[in-house]
Amino acid sequence: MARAVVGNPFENQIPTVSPTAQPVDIYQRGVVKSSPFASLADNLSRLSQKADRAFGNVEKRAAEREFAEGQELYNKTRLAIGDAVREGIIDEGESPYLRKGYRVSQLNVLANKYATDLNVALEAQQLYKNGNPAAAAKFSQDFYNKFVEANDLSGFAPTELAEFLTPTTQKANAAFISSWKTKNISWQREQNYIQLGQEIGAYTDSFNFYTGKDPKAVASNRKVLSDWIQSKVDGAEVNGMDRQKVNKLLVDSLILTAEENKDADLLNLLDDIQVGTGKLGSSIAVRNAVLSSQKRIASALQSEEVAQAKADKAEADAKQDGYESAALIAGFKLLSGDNSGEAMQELEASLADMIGAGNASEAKTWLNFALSMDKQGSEVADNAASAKIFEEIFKDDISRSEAAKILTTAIENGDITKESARSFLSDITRRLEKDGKITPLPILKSGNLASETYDDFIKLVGAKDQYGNPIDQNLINKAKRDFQALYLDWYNSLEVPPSEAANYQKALEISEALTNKYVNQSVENITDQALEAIEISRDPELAAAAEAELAEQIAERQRLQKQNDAGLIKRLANWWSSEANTSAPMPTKN
Amino acid sequence: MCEPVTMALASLGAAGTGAAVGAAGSAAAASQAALAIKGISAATSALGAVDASRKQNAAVAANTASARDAYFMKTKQANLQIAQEQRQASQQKRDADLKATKAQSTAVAAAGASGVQGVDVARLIDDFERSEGVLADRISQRLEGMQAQTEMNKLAFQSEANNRINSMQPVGFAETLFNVVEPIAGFGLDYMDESNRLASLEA
Repeated sequence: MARAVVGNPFENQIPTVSPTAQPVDIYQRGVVKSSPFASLADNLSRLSQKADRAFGNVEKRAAEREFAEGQELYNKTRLAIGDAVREGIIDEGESPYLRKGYRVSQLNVLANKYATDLNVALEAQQLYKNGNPAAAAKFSQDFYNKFVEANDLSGFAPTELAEFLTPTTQKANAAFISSWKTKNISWQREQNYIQLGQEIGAYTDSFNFYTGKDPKAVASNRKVLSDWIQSKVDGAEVNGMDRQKVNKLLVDSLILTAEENKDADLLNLLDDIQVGTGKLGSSIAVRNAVLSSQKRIASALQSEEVAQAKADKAEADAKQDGYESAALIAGFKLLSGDNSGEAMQELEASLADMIGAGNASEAKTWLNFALSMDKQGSEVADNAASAKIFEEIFKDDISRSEAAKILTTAIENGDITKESARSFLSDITRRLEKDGKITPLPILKSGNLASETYDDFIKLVGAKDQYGNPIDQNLINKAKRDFQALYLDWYNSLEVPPSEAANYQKALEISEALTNKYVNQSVENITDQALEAIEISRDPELAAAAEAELAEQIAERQRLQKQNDAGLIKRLANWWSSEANTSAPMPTKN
Repeated sequence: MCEPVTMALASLGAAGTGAAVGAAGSAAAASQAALAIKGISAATSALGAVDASRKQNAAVAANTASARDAYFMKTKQANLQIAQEQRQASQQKRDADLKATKAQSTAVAAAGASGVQGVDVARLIDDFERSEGVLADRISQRLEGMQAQTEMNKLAFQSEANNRINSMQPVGFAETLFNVVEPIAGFGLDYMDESNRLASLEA
């Protein structure tokens, strides 16, 4: 038999104590027991809403009834007061209704003025440019306060103000705020585009595009500028701005800048700007605009060159004018007998300048002039030559050089005396214009009354006498010279050029003064008749009167002729009768 | 207490009279008809308030009874569960005692057959007894824990029952009375307002 094994029966069989506690929920929600008073209050609260409305209606109806009664009473009283005014019991000025009507009218005027002024202020002061609503509200409030201060309202009762002024001012203020908002939004919308255009224009205009004129630098600058414009375009697109307007702004700004700087290369930037799905410069409208702008730029550059050429010519002309003036003065000194040598040096200097400026022919003309001025000329005054030279110099717009040539020729030919040459030079200098031209005298310039008077006088002087004898030419030339001298003296004495009427008047005076001296009386009578005939032919009224007189004379002559004819016939009839009585009777009519 | 149905019928009679007279015109007749409808509405509202109060109180009583029954049953079952646990613990202790006694006897017999005696055998038997004591103590600790938890569960059952009972409140007499009075009084105000309005129109 095997031996029993003795061991601890609880070995590894004793359990540990497992936890048994568990959380429990013993929460009890608080309970508010319903109170009869709370229920009563709740019911009363609901009832009070109906009661308020019902009792309010009672009050409202009572007020309406009282108001209607008051209105009726007011109207009755108004009628009674009106009757009293009509009957003279109460003066119009004392009628409370008229007085109130006057005040109401005043308040209406003030209210309308307030609304108008406030609206005008919005436009005139351009308040809509301020985007702050509080500023607009403050302005309207300040405007009201100033309006109240400016217009004394102390004579009005508060109820009158509340009834007739305040509603209108409040409406005007509300309309002002609304109008301000609308205008501000509209203004801001426009300003967005304007500002964008100005920004692009200003940046493009100030951008130093051609730094260093290095092709690489120019290309780099162009890239920078196009990138910047592209960023502005993209930003505008993101912000929801109208693409068409933005594109137009961009095109206009670049075109304007290009035309201002006369730089057509700037227009090529339009081909770098990406808008939408294509390049900005690729549309037909933009290409047309670019083409037109390029033409304008080319035209402007051409005009600039022409203007520069004109300026250069004007500068050269001015220099030549200076040279000629110096030569003229030098010649005048030489003519005056200045032998100091200074005049000759000045002349030589001016001639050298002329040659230096490429005007050799002009220099030759003035050299001849100076040399001739040193000659003595004629010893006896020749009126014919002087009159002819006078007319050549002062008739048309001739230049100083041409005048110098005329004088040179006259001196060298001995046509005029040295004194006459000096006199002519003095007159030329006096009548010299800034452009080197000599101003013509009115009596020599055709197409005015003074010149006609001068011509008539010369014709009168040169007319044949009643016997058909011609007038001595020397006399005519002397008359010319006298006329020319008198007129020129008068003309030179004036500080400002005379009017045409004054010219004519002076020419008439000179003509009358010289007529007695140079014109034969018979010639004058014939001339007067001729002038009268011309005057009649030119005046329709005189011509008509002359025709009427002539017709009357013809009629009278015809009447006399008829009388003569009738007398002759009568005499013949008498003769025939006497002859017939002696032979056979006259046949009678059945 | 005013009888709502009587008032409503009275308003209907007034409306009918007003319509029969016909002096105020069709607008007045329509207004009086609307007033009659308001009167009927007020009467039915008052009756509804009384009926609603009665039904509310009945529901509250049923809810309270149900909550109490549920609490009783849960507590009872909890007590039964802990009693069963006690029996189980008692049986486990008894089984351990028997197992220890058997082991001791086997050890003593084996030692005697082998001629072994002395301190070593006594120590072996003491070891068996200590092990049994430890096992019995562990069983007691577990039982105590479960008893404590059961007591707490019963407290939770009580709270649950109270919450359920309190979830429905009975309608008091005064509240019922006011709920009846409110529509009738409101109709009275409407009647007065409408009468005044018609009177003002006739004036």
